[in-house]
Amino acid sequence: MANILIVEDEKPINNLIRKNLEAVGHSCTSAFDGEAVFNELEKQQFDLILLDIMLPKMDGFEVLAHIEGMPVIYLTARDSVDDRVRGLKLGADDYITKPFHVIELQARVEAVLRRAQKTDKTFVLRDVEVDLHGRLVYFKGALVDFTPQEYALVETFIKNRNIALSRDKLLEIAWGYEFGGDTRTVDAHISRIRKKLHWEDTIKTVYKLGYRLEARHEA
Amino acid sequence: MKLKTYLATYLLFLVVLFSCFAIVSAFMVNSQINMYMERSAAEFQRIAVSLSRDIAILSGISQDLAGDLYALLNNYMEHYAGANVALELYVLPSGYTIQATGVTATFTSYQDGHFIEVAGQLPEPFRAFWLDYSLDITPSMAAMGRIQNILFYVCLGFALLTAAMLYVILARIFKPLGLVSHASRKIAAGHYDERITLHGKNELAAMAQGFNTMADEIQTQMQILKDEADAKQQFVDNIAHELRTPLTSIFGYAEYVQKIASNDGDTIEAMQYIMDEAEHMQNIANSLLTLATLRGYTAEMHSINASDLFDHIKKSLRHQTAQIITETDTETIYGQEDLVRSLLLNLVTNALKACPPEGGVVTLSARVGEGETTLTVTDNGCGISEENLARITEPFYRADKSRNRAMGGVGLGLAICTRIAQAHGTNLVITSVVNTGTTVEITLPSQSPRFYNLATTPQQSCNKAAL
Repeated sequence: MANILIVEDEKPINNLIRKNLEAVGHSCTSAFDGEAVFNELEKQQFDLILLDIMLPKMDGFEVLAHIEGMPVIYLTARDSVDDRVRGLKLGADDYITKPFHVIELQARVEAVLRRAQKTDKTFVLRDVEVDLHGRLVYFKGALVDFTPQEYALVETFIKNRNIALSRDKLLEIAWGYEFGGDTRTVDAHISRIRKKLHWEDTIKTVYKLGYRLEARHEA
Repeated sequence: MKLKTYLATYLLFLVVLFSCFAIVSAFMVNSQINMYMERSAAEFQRIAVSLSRDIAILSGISQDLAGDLYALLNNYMEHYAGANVALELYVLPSGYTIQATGVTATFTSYQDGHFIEVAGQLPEPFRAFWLDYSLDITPSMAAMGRIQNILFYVCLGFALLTAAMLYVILARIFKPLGLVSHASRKIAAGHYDERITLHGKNELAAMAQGFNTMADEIQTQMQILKDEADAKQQFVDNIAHELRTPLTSIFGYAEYVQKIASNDGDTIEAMQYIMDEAEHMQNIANSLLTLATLRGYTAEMHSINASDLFDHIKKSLRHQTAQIITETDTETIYGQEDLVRSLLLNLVTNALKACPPEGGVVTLSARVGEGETTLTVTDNGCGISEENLARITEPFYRADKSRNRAMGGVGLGLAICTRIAQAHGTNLVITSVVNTGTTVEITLPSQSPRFYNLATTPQQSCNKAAL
């Protein structure tokens, strides 16, 4: 998974983003002001920087102007259109406004990483191996037959591993907004995936919420 | 207004001009005719006398009197025809008497011209002869007519010239009014910096001056309103930001607990964040309420024991690393105790935050002056830049642009302190030097309001005596 630098001066929010990203397997480093970014950049390589605009010492726009050729998503609490445009013009790949949903954060991070071709090619969890580029799923080395919806669900679980996903959200992601289907369709598909991959315990039912792919130590 | 003035003035001018023209031309014609009449009468007399003499001579020598008389008259007529005079001689029938003896000249106009006519008898002894004299003055009258025409056209020329000049003059006179109306329209349209430039000392310049003063006042008032609106907008923006930051954490951690947290440690940590942020929001709400309550509030002045107050503040802040020194040369301070305490607590807390991690010193002192006590909080901390100093008492204003909350507080402390000072009828005086330290002063009366009243009583009775 990707190595991400989180630049946000509010400690609770920095920690929150870090916990969310670490849950899906990214490794994270926290920085709390604009100047610290350059110290961290000297120490290690990052695949992505999450950058707050309102920072002490050096604001996000200034930091942005000094970073080149690195995917950046900036965080802004302001609703100002000017700010968003300015950030994008300075070369940021995307922005997230606070407050944000964890799914939105993951989706934007995932999208930017994919564009930068920094996403993983494969996902391995015990006997299961998923070829994310070829959209193929293997169980103990043998190819498993998957419908497009089943694969979409598996992919969503992998990208949002360790995050509980509601049935509505899954329906929306795997079938699209227009699909007027029932959430029971999701349950039916999940039980088929569980059976095919022996994931009865791996895809956990979360009470009153939905499902979660448990992959904390294998990621 | 301008058009009316123009038309009235111009009409008056035309009446006067053309009346003059009419009077002058009538007078000219009259005097011309009178001159001709006098001249004609005199000439008639000369001709009559000369004719009588010739008749007398003829009657002595002539054989054919009638024929010679006719030839004589023809001679006269030919002679005078060159001077546009026609002569006629009649013989009056015998017994015919004429009352009038004098000679009168008359002016008569016929279709074919204007004539001066004189008629009368020849002098004695030829009273039987009647002479008619007629002078044709048509050419002379025509010349007069031409002169009148020229005069008329000259008048017309003057009238046109005056029309133009009057317009220019009125335009100049009315220009200031035009400027005023133009400027007031621009101001009404929102261009508050529009002014009139008029020099001189007349009424119009005074009016322009008055207008400009009014415009200045309007501009100032508009600026005040705009600044107030901007400050309110800033306040709302700041509240939005101050609320959104803890809400982002609360929402995010709640979502984390619901969807991700897999062990008690994570859950408890997230819950702690939620509680801290909720508490922070609670503090913001309380501070906002305090700020709102203090608006327009007047403090109840009571005596406060200075050393007790200072001890209390020292005790509340005893866990701080910086040293707190208190100095007082008075036993009592006057003010509302809870407000003064919260004011000092706030100022000292701010001073402590500004102090360096080591060697920080905050001095809290009360000094008695003339009828007033000055409370001072001084630190040797980082100081405040001039730019920030002006805005530091604004609600939620943070010197640090990133509005970092790491130093704690909700950003309303100094705004509340300012309100407390105002409730005591005074203000905060903040002076600061960057990297050297900051001093905040508040001056309170050193007597209770009751003493104030006693002090003013004699003055009031004096006034009554004077009345």
